[in-house]
Amino acid sequence: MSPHRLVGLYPAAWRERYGDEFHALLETRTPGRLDVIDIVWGAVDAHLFPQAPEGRFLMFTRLAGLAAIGAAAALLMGFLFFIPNINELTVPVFYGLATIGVVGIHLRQVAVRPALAWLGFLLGLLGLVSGIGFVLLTRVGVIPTDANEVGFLVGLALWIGSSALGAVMLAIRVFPTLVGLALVIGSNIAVLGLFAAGSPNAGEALDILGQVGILVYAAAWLGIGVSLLVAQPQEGVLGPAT
Amino acid sequence: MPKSSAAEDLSPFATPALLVMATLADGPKHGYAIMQEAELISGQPLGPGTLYAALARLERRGLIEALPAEERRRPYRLTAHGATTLQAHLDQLRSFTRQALERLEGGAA
Repeated sequence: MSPHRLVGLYPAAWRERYGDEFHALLETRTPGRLDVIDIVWGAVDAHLFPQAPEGRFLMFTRLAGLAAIGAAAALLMGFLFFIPNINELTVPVFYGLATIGVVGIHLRQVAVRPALAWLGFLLGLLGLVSGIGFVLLTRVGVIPTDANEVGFLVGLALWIGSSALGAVMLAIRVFPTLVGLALVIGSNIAVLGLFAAGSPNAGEALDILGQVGILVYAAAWLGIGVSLLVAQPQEGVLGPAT
Repeated sequence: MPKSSAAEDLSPFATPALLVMATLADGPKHGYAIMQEAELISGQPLGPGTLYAALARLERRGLIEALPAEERRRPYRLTAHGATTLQAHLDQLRSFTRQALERLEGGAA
């Protein structure tokens, strides 16, 4: 394996700091098989335990990006498989999806703006706990199961959590404005669509609106994830490194 | 503020880190020179990946610092904190070695 490829195994921040001299070292001393194994092990270590000053920041950023992309994929799956059949199962599934994104974003936010992160987290948590509590109460029969009520609560929690997160992101300009706006607008349209789907008088236009909203919502999470994965601290998109 | 206990913070690269610090005890060196001296001291080769994992940890903790690059090679040197830490660690090793030798010699007698 060429020195260039071996250096490429390391994280971007590591390469920025050590890449040039490491490359020069590998050119001076051609790596043998054991060296290649040693370098791969070193690269894994650099990914898992970043030592650069911004290492903690990058670790949070990467985890948040992966979580956001996971949320986007999960939301699309939820859209494809669960939306047409709103029932009790939809609630925990959608709360799970929302939680992935909330946790991911907060991994990132905690490293940048702890106070605002906690505010968004608490708002999202409020919806999450109330929704799970509602589902449990329907399970034990305290509250009669009603698909419309469940759908309403799903929408409410998604609206509270994602609107709060979107607002926080826009306020501190962590992500591109378009991505933050897509999350806020997409979640609101999606909620409107969920309400409409649960209504006996739901029209086709509202149904389509809801589906578009969910797609925009998922696209926003995807945008967040990609932004987090490709951006570097010095680029300013993600704000100052801490 | 860097911690004073270098070895305990650097696992699983504690031994290579100590080795790197020992090679820098007599003056600044760049990566390739560190690798050569480390092998000379320990009798074991020090891989490039392990070397830079140790360098990154030591630099992060303020035990070594990079000097301006010479062409593409960047020399490193011990900081004052690094020198103190290395001294403390070597004193500990010396005490350990002395006691172990005394026990061994006492047991053999």
